[in-house]
Amino acid sequence: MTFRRLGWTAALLAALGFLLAPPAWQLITSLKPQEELGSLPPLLPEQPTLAQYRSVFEGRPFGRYVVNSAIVATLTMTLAIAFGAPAAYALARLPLRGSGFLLFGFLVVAMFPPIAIVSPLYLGIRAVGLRDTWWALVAADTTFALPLTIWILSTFFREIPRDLIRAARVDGATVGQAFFFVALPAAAPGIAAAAILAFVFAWNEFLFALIFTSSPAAQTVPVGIALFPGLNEMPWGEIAAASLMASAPVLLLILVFQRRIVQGLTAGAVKE
Amino acid sequence: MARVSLAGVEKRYRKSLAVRRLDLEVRDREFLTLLGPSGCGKSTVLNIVAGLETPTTGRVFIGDRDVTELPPQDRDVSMVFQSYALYPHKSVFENIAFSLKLRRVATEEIDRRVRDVAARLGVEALLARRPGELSGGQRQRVALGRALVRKPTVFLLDEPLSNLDAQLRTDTRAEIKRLHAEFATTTLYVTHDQVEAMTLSDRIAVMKDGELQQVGTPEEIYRSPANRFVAGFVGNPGMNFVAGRVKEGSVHLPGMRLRLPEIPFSGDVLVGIRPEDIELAVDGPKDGAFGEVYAVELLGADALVVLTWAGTRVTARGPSSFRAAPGERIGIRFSRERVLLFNPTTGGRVS
Amino acid sequence: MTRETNQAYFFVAPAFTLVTLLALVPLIAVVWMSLRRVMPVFGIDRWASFANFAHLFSDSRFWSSLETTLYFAVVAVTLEIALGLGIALLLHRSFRGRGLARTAVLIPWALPTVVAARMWEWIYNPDFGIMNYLLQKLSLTSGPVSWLGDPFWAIHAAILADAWKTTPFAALILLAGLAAIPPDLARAARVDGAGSFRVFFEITLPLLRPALVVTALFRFLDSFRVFDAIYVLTGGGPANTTETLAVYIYKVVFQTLRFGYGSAIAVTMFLLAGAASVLIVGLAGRGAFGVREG
Repeated sequence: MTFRRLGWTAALLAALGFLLAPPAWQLITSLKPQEELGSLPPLLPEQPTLAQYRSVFEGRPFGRYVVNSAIVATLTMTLAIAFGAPAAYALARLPLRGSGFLLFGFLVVAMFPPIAIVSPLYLGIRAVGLRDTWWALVAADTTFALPLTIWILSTFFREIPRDLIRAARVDGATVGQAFFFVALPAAAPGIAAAAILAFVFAWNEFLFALIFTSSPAAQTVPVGIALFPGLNEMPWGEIAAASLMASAPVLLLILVFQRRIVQGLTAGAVKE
Repeated sequence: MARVSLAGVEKRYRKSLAVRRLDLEVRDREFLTLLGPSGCGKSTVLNIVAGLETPTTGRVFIGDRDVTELPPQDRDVSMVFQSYALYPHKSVFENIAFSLKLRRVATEEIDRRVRDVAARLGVEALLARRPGELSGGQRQRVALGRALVRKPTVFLLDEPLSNLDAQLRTDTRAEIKRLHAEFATTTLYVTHDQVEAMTLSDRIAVMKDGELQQVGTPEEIYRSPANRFVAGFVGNPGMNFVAGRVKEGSVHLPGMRLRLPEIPFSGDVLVGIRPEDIELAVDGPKDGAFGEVYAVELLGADALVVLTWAGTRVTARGPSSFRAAPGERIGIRFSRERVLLFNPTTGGRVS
Repeated sequence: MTRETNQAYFFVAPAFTLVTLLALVPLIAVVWMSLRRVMPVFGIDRWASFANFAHLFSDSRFWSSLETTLYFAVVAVTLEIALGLGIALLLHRSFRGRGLARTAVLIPWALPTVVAARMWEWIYNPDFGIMNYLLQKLSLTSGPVSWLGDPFWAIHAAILADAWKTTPFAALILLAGLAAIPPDLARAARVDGAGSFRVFFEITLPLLRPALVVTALFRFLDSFRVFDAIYVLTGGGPANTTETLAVYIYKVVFQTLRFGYGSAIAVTMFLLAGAASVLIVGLAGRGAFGVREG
């Protein structure tokens, strides 16, 4: 019996190793001074330093990138919930003709290759003068975060007992009040999950950020990292440091909200 | 067919002790029920016998074989689960045949035996269907069929009737009794329903909080309970308990004095008397014990009379014609031979 | 009732408007552009009917990128499901620190794609990368391999990097699927006489079918459209060996500035993705979605 247990533990450690080794290596790399980068062995830095982290900011508006990302991600998260929650509720609980059609529509949007619609979107955004602004990104990110947000939220809304809403209506609430004061609080875990996922999506989003922005005015962190190659060599140490700083907020989120995230990702994917 | 013995079996989880030192023997061909409230450890014991869990200490024997280390597939037991656990993606036929298929039984023989068992249980028309298409009662019978088709050494049932409605429960109960008479397999049955335990068992083992309280025939459990818990658990409506005092060889209760032989001590005592052993006197001698009517529940065949007496509420069985208004005073008398005395602190029976 | 229906439209309105404006309209614009010759830089915008699609058939670069994309998608998805199932089975058992393990499993998913791509690029670096270092140390290779520069290895290096990042998602879906299987079924099977292998193949796997189909479907659609990882890792690869459809479209539109032709490729891609989805769901068979339990 214990032999089996050992097998399972070994497999688990192997799996975790596979998943965690690459970022761990990136962390080690980021702590190496420039001179040690080119040589292997040794694996671990002999003189660990934070120099790489500092030089990330030299000659580069990395701080600005982070600010841009934070703003875009927060706004996207807010709008995704603000637009998505009512829509999800309507799809889940209100008599809506053509709800199947709407759902199908959202699914189609989710299936279309973003690279394809980037071109007309780019032309449109340029036309209204929103090029290189936060709003262009927020609008685009929210649009593409909505299908997933609505999917997750409608699952949670569907689990609220109908009687709860009915009781509120009998107590005198309008449809809107029932939604805001009863349904929303009841679906709070789902909303938290959807919000976090929307934030992560917007923070990590690359394609739109790459194409809709052209200057540090609105460029986000992923774009910043992609733009790293200087004239000659790739500053691998700086890239590693920048990568970790770029990932820090999201990593923090998953550390704190692991359970919620798992809930959100699997909601509705598997019928109980 | 063989007996099942549990010797010194204990099951401990990380934070709790599910089963305390248990020594139990199920005799060959016997139908023994593990009876107790939820969480008393009875299902754990069943799982240990099945091999789904291993005891922390102790040994399990089936026949003369020590099976403690053996996995379920090598123990030749079959089990009916409370949730039936029918394989939803297999047909009824395949569900019943599964265990035979695993044992490499010939296809024609599988066919014959499955149809045989299905006919016996009245589900032969359902063999091609999936469990999802069946009603609760039908699924239950398929679960029984799956367990029976193997003719195992030991037959284990975990609260098989609890998901059925009342009528189906009574019917299936009779069917299980018939099946046991016919197949005569050693059976270990788990339930919290004392009616099932009383009607089906050769012997009952009552459990509470992981500890075995008493093992005996239904008659013994009912008439000679080992302690207050067993006495109160079996019987519907339950036994009444009243606080009394022993002085000079008799038990003193408000308005009543019972002279009982061999009371070895004196002091406080808990008196137990079953509702059917209380005589009610509407117009009798105006002395002795009197209770005040709290409620009368007419059951059709008889009546349950709830009285306030001796600082507590007491239920008595009365004739179906019994009528009384709340507040009326009724005389109470006990059948002396039926009175049981319990130690108020330990709950153990004293006589 | 009708009044409530009208109110319901208000609920959906904001989301609907946004998606229509920023997704549906561009989508229609793409279809529109696919039927025209559009090159905004030169001010060209005229009707071309199906000329773009006709050109597609004879465009060898299109076909090779399609082939690359399909190869990528099939191999990546297979890898992800295999690894994801393994991880799901590991996480299904309860053990101390399971929450921590789940957090760890989420890390690849949480990293921005660009970050993950650069990370793998560093690992694959022919001179300083740890991959070559470890392989040489273990005597598995004789000299440094240029993972991203070798026409054969590049696509596989990209597949590994992408699979690494997306396996957590597959693992989570499959984990939820495992959790939905009533534990009594495995117990009943063991009492019936099945050992662990039989239980897995006869009970667990069949009942996991819906989750497997969902995972395969989502992952296939995502892999089919892959852009970020490839663009950053190889930019289309040594001699276009890692050029997937999405990357090709990017080059057609933003490098050769042929918006019309690029749109035509996109429309084709979308139709192919739809056809593949139907195929996947169809192959999965009846009963893939929802098998009620007994």
